[in-house]
Amino acid sequence: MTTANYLTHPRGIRSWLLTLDHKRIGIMYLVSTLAAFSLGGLFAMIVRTQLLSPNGAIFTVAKDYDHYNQMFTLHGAIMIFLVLIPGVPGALGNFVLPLMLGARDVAFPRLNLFSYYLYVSGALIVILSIILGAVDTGWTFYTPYSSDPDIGSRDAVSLMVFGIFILGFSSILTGMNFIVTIHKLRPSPPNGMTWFRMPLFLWSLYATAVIQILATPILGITLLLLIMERTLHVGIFSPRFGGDPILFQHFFWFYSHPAVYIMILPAMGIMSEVIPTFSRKPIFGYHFVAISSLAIAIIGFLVWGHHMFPNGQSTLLSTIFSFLTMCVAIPSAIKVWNWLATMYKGSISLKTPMCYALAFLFLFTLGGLSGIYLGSLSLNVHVHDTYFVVAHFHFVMFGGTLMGFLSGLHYWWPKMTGKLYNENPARLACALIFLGFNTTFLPQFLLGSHGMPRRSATYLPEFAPYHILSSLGAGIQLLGFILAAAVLIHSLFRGRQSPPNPWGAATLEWSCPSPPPHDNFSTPPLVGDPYDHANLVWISDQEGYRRSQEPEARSQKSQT
Amino acid sequence: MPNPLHLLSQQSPVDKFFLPPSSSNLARDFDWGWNFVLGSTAFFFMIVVVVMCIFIIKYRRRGPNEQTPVITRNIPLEVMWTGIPLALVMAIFFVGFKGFINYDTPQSDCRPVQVVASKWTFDFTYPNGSMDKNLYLEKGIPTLLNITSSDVLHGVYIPAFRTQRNAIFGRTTQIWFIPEQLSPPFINAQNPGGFNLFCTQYCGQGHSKMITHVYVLNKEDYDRKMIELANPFKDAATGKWIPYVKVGQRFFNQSCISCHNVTGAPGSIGPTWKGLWKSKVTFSYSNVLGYTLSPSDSDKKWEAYIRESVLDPGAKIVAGFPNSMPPQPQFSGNTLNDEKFHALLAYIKSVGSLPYTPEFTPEKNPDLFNADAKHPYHPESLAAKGKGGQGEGVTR
Repeated sequence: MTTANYLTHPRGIRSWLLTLDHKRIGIMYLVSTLAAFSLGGLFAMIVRTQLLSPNGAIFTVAKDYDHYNQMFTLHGAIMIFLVLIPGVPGALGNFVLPLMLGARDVAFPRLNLFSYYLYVSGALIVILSIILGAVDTGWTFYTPYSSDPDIGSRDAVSLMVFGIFILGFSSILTGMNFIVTIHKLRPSPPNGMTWFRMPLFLWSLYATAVIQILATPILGITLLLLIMERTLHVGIFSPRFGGDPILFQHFFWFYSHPAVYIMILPAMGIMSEVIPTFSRKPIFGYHFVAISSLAIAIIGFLVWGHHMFPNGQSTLLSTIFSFLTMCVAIPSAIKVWNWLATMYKGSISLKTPMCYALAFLFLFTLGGLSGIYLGSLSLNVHVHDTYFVVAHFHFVMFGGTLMGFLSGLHYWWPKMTGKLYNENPARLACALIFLGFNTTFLPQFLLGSHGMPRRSATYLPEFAPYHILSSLGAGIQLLGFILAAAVLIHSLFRGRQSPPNPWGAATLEWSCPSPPPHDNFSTPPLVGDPYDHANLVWISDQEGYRRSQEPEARSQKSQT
Repeated sequence: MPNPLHLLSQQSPVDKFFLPPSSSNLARDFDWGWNFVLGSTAFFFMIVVVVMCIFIIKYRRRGPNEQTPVITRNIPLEVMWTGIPLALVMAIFFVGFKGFINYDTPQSDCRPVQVVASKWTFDFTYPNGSMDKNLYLEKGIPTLLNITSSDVLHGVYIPAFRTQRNAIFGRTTQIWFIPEQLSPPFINAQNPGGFNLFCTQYCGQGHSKMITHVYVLNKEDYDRKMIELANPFKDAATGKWIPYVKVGQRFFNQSCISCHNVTGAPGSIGPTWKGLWKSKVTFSYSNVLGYTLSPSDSDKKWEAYIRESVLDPGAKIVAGFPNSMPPQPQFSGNTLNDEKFHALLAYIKSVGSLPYTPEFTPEKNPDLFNADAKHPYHPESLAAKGKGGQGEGVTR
């Protein structure tokens, strides 16, 4: 490739740090979230190592349990606020959204860069809070433990909470940018991008952005109130100052429940791209998948109380929340059925992104179904705050979001870097992660249903076999992640040049070269059906697919 | 540890794989609902996985340009796979709702037990006014726990009963149940038997050790236990007086052991008791300006210090340790509780080590170590002195 692409135009560190190019900002998000993921993963490995022994393998005396508590808090806070929430929208979404839409950039490129630097600042403050005295409150910051230093945590809670407050603004600005971009920058008709010609990844990013804008401010206010109570003793959440600790839980989950949909919806969008592409078949039930994203975004706002059934919430509220929780299961189920139906009579290719997508289907289905137990009122009472919950949200957040993220990363990697990676080692890494994941988290369902409380530095000897198995699984996962990273890094230096469309996908980002040029599209591209794979033919000397007809000609043909 | 009583319960092997022993009226309902959800979710999971595997094999790609049929929608199929799961989750909702209303609505004839959760112990106060760190229940008697917290949030969770509730400062929450199976019996400190009671709401350093035991007893044992709790100095079974140091040791094992030790091993949350009596202590905080305590100080001063540390632990903080101990009101307020404090003090003195000789030894103070001996704090001695000692009078 002799023409300049976005990676080489222009050159220099300054051109990266001050770039307004959505693709470069996406890459910077990717590097940052992967770094944060490594840090969060390190804390997870410390947690799992500690739990190898009933009395703790690292922190063996009671005074050191604080350090264990800090480890799981940092693992949770970093994975949630620095990896899962910004991961797919910030890294993959930023890179792919304008390309998929047929636009040259997002609506507000400067805001996009500002949002990235807010993310970096927030992340640095969080890391500073770790250095100044790691926080041990759990990522949920439940009051009064977090808000009343006299009876609760004396660590740098205010600082970490302030970092997360800043991260919230990054999330809001990204969401706003995406909404405006999708509304205003679609190529205009004729042959433009209509709402129902949008790839489903964009629908899911849109639904995510709506949640980010509406829910994140609540978290921001709540965290500010927490800091106020901690420093000024204003009575809001701590009963000692006349506050109500349950109020904090309502505020917190009003954001944090929708936030799990901020995390999972973009991953679902990736599924809706990867599964049709590697089945070489249009998505089944496009409208149902698209609308179910919005349904999840809307109903997802009304279920926060299911985190609080035995926490002193009124029976009526609990009943309503349980009912709505059961309802929110349905749109996710619709998506799973439609993905399965997409594979029916398809031409299924088990390339790495598809392997991760199938792992997603398996793990997310299991995770989603375990949510039925937690959403049911009386069953929740037994498994509430046990390892069952830990297993459930790792299945949906790790088995769901992270598998989706890895699927998307391997799917768009040739587009982002212009390099093809080695398929077989990448598939082996996927298999290791899948195997390790199940070894880690399936035993945790049993731990929970047998009554093992979460966030415990030590445990009763009868739980030991499950915990040892679980830690073993974490080791397998670590191997898998190291291998996956090695494969991708290897491809950067030794990978073959990728053709524009290596997978045979019909969305617009595959119609420009890999990596894309600085301006994406010199002229607004002709928009066709995003899942019209039959129009793509394999060109063996290019090792890629190419459109056999332009969309315009094809749409005319299909009308006749 | 295999528990012989588990074999007697009526759980199926599937139940035992997924759930702890089932021992209350709530647990019976719960297990039915659990199996219903387990069956239906397993069914749907199998459909997804089996269909996925069949498709992967049957429709594997045979060439890069393989043509596939264009199938984009099927409304009856969409209605079906929306409708059937919806009907099922609604059924699950009603099962859960019914169980929850039962969990949330105590029977009117419950026997109340007050539960105070604090960092990091539980205190149970029984209808006869006595207090203990373990929960004793009578089989077949509906029991209501009135739960509150003295500091941060805690949880009261009894897996065998399938029930839990959070403990909240300034509020009282409730759980109720009818224990239906006797618990495994207490054998010794290493093998304490009983059902587990966990704190489930994260509460800081000692959270994972905030575990106590629930003993479900038959009427005879329960009544005897209540008498014993009301007068911890007398063995309710034999009617004999229990040695003072032994009583103190029992208090230590029930509660203090979660933060203190008597072995001198480093790393405990609170100062070790080994050699504590008349040891050299430095304070990081004291409510009295210039307060010091040295081995040469009088017994009276030391006793006052230890009493204060039990009742108002924040008053003086030993250097190097956090101010995290909750007050222990069960050691003050009436003659009996005062006596319990002295038993605890006797135990503290008995675990003294070199270079400090234990204040009390079996040789020097046979009356404190021998059963049935008359010692200064013996309820009968107190009664004889006319101090209004209640002794046995408070058993009921």
